[in-house]
Amino acid sequence: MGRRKAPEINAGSMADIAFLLLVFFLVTSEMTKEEGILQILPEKTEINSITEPVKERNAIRIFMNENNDILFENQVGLKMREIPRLLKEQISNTSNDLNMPENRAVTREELQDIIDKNKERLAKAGEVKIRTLTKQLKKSKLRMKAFEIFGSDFKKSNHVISITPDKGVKYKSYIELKDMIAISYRELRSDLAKRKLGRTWKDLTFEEKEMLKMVYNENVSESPIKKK
Amino acid sequence: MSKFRKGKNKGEGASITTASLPDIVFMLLFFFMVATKSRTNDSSVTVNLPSAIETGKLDDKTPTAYINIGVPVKSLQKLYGENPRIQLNDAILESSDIGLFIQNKRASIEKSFEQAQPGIGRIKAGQMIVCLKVDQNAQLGTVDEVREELKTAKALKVNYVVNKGN
Repeated sequence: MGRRKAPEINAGSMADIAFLLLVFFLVTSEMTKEEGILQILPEKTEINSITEPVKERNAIRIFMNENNDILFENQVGLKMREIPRLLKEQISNTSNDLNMPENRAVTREELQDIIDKNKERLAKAGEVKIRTLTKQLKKSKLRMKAFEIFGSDFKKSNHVISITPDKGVKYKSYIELKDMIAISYRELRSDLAKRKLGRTWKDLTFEEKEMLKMVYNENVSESPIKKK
Repeated sequence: MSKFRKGKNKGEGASITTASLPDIVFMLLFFFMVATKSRTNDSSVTVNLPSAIETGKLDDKTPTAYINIGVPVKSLQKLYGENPRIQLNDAILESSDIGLFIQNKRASIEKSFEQAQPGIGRIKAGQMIVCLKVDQNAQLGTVDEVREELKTAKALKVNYVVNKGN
């Protein structure tokens, strides 16, 4: 037998096969991660009267109808973009206006009280609850840390933003309204960060962000939509 | 000049070797396989998402259920009309079907996680987030119907999927 060359496989079509696979994956996959607005819905209650009464001055009411008209407290004819400015004014209420939500400075004693209480509960807790209670204790300690950094800027505000959109409101406007509320809080937190830490929101650490969220705690209530 | 031509052209043109082309393409292919996740389901409704600035990303590990709301695609408009409808899995259904849909989703999540690590299925099913993909021109009333059903089904974590805008 003479020496024969090993048979060669033509690899020319390999590229075609690979391209085919590539195109298939390109078509069936999506690249971007989805962005979204998270909301925890309230639990369904049989009787609506269980809800805590809110003082009139503490409620910041925003109504919206199907023509996208906005009623903010008692102001009409507002544009969406004006909401953050008005909300910030209401929430911070620096002039202590009697018609705007009340707030008071947080004291060291009450924060320490909460920490002590959480410690006590953790010591007595059973196996099942240990995780949630440790989390709570950590949170109360972080709140104390926030107090040490932000001092008198750490206020306890009793505001509740109540939004009541009509049934016919376009989803787009509803999301825009939610976004405006989120922007208001973001700006409040960012302003404080700039003032006290000298950095903007995006340069903050995760812990600092969490602390600022405690200082300006979000409190939005969505009243059930009335059926016509 | 003529000398130059004689030297090279002997019937065959100079060819670039394509042997490494498959490797390059495979590399691209693997990149896409790793960097993307496969599309979950075809939509029977068209959804133009609204945009918002203050958004967050979901953790990759949280189990999700998708509910789409939008105008049915052209081929289904004869059957379902031109008003925004609710899509669960691949079918266009009514809001009253949501309870069952959530129940099934929970069961399947529980099952798949239970296989990976016993005891964790229940917890994961409880963490489920419902992602609402709603067309920006839909009315809030439709969304609210869905939310009421979700409350009844005790699926309280809701994520409104939006485009990141500015």
